[in-house]
Amino acid sequence: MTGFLTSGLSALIGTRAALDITGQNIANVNTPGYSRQRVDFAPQQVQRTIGSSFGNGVTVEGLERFTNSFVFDTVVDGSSGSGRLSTLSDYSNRINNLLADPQLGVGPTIQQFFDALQDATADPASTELRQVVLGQAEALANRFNRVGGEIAEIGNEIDRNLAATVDEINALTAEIADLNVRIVGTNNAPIAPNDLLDQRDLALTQLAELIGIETVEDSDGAVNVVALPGYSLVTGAGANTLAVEADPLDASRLRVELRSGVTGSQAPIDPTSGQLGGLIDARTDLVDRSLDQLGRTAFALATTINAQSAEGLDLNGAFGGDVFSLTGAPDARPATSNVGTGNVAVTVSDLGALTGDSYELLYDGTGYQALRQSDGAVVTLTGTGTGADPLVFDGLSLVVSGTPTAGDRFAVEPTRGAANGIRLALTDTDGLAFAAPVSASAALTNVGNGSIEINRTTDVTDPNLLATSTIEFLDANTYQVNGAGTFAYVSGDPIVLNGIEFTISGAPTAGDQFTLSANTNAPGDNRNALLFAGQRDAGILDGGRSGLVASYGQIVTDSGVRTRNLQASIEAQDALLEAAVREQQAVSGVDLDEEAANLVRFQQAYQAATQLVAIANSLFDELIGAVRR
Amino acid sequence: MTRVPTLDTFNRALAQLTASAAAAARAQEQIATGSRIVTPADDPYGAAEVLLFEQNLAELAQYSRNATNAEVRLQREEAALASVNDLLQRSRELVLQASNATQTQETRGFIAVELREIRAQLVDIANTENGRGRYLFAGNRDTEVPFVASGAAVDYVGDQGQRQIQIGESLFVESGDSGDQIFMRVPRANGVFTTAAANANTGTGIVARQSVITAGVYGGESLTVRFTAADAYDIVDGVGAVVASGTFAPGDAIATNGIAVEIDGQPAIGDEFTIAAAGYRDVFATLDDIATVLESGASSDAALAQQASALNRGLENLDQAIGIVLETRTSVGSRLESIDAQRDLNTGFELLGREALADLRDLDYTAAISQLSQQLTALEAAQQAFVRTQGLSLFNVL
Repeated sequence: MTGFLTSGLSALIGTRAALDITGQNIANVNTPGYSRQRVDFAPQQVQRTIGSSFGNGVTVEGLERFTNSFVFDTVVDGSSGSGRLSTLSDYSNRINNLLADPQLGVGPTIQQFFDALQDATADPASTELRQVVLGQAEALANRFNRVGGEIAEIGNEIDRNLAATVDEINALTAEIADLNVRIVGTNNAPIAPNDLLDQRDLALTQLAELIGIETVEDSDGAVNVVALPGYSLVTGAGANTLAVEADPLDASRLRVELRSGVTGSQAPIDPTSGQLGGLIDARTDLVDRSLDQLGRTAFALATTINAQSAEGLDLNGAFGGDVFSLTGAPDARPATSNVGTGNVAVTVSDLGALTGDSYELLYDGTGYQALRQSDGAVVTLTGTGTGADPLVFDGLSLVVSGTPTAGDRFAVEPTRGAANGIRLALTDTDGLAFAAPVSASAALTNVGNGSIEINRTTDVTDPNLLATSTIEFLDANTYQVNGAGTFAYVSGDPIVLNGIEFTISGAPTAGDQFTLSANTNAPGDNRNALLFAGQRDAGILDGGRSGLVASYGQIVTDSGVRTRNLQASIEAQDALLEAAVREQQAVSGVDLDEEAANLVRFQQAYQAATQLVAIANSLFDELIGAVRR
Repeated sequence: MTRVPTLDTFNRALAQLTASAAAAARAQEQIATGSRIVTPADDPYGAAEVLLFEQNLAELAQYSRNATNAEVRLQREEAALASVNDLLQRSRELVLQASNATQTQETRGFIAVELREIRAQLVDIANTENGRGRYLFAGNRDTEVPFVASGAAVDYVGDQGQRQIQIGESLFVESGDSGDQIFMRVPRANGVFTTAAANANTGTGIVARQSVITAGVYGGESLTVRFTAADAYDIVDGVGAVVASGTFAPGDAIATNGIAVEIDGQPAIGDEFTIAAAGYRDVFATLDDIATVLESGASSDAALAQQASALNRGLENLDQAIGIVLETRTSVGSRLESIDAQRDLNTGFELLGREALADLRDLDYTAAISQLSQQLTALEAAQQAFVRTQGLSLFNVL
């Protein structure tokens, strides 16, 4: 009899609990990280004594929280991968749009600069056309500055995001450590701390999006978190924090370090995934690489145009000065963490071998090793780093001064600063060196029909380049130079004199004179302007295979391929993550229809239980009535 | 049976809606830009090719502009040279006219006046500008007047430079010719040697035709034909040694050292005719020479004979000048032709480039529009499905 009532009461209590939990599930249908719960019922122990009751009702054994640790791990993995790729993809898209946009990119501006030079070849004396050349040169420098500046600004943004991400990670690891303590504290409680577990799982998922992690659960319920590829973030109740510090190789940059909560020591880390990994990769693979490559084009342009300018004469009859100035490239510097006093100076010795990479130079106590930044590969180098025997690799020449100590490092950035450091140096239109340095003439008093023509400048550094030389024929087959020597004459054979190659052809006769002299009064001479214009397609990079325009094309293709690959990867990764989340939701998510059905079910059970109590009550009344009579 | 949690249903439907909307937006952007490749990531290799073709087209456009620049300049030069030719032809007629025995001192004076007038016009033409302050015939010193009067002579202060303009991938064309080449460096006489009658001659010998018999034998040495009798001569070299002798009758050609000089009229004993290497004589000097001879007022037979010799030389010099102008005009004409040919070639390349570019970049509108409408249909369907499925809930019927 009491068993009957007990059953009814236990059923009331149990179904109330079930209704409560259904309500809880419905209430949290939109709560992120919430795992649906279910009341676990079990029949009350049956007491098997004769004449006694046959059941004691139902007990609530516990609250089951629907999760699947395997699926959870997949979601954590997926979040890390997705966090990295979406960060990379976002930055890649931005840089891609910068490089390719005809309104922003450098390509069309290079073309316009050379177009202006071509126009000037038609009338080299024209101040207007010269002004257009300088204007286009300035526009080109500005365009490099602008695109380089935007990319550098993306680098700064990445630094800010690094700091913010590190803060978020520290907050989450602290939260997880705290939740660990609270979860371990409930070990002896009858009901599992489902809400805390949900909170911790949510924190772990959020953390995984920021930095790739692996989790291991201790037997006491605490979870240990290791950031990939192997940095301990949370151990039970203790959390190590991340910090951003100035990068010793580039003080303008931040790097991420792990600070041990126990010893307080700090060491740099290189997380491979998550948003943090994505940010670090974006800076190296996207920002640095784009600046290096764009800088290579800018550097090649400035170097080539300046060299061409130095080979010609301007309107004042002087050798041309620099058209572009370059600051910040090539650059090399010791790490701030170095112990020794070594410093390093870098020059570009071979433009054609320049790769558009940056390097880290390591001193091991006896020699140097150069690591390419893009892939960490060791680059073959020769030399010992002295002035007489510089370190030479990839078109660079490095001289180390001071005394480095083993383990000292140096940053070598041949072209990174070039896009932002290129400026127009020439402001005077007269300063454009469009004329060749030397002109040739045949004397009007000549009797023979010999003619002279200058082919090219073979050595612009020849000290006598601008000296006047007279070639006088002794007879039809021999000539002397400046009144000395006897040289055999062959019509059309190239002759080199004072850095100038020229040919005399035809039939000169004795006494005929030809003169080479400084081409100082020839505003209409466009020979050097033609050479300027020819630099557009000249193979000056990649060992002579690429010109300026082509080298910019490479950057665009590179960026396009990278962006496209990242888009494909992020799509695949998102699909994986989506599948994992769906699977997780299939286990843990609240289905309102299901809860509605449960509501009906438990409502009916509750009604039935109340009936049990009512019947028990009426049975009791009848029993009492019978006894009273 | 897989459970379908409510939030997941919602999120999934939302993701599908977003994806459909994004696809439709992309198709719309393609249609709006008319380009298949909106960013390089859409087709990296295609984008690089597009970049190259665009550069190539820009290059071709530049070559066309260069070609036009060169063409304009050469056409101006051709017009100037046509006038030069006319003036030189007129001078030639005048010299022939002056050589006519019916001329008097006075009429020769008139001719001299006209020749001086022509010479002044020639200087003007030689100093032609291109309309923008650049002198056509100044070589590379084209900002300054190239031909300046210096006493009776005209000096050339330009240089011998000749400017080239790039009109094709590897084709350069000279956009002009220096004044030195056209006006100054005019070979004298027949270009090999020239013979002058000595001022002191008393006979009526006239140097008529001069010719090279065997090319390459005469080496520029000075020779003098000295008449030892009315019908005999010696040929004396530069140091006074007699190298040959011969007999002479009026109209005979005296041949030596691979060259021949025909002398008309009757030289007197002791008359000398000097032979020298031709060298060059500028066209202004030639005209000045002729005018001066005509103004000399020759009346004696001997003086008239010398005048006739000088007029013969002048005529030869003029013919050389006319020859050079003709040669230059031919060269200008062929340069204009090659500009035309290159322009045709460039246009052909441009057409090919544009076609290739269109293939690479341009959108197939039919396909794109049908794709857009497909995507819009998908979007609408997704929206309707969303509304329908979100409306389904057991709670609605409780």
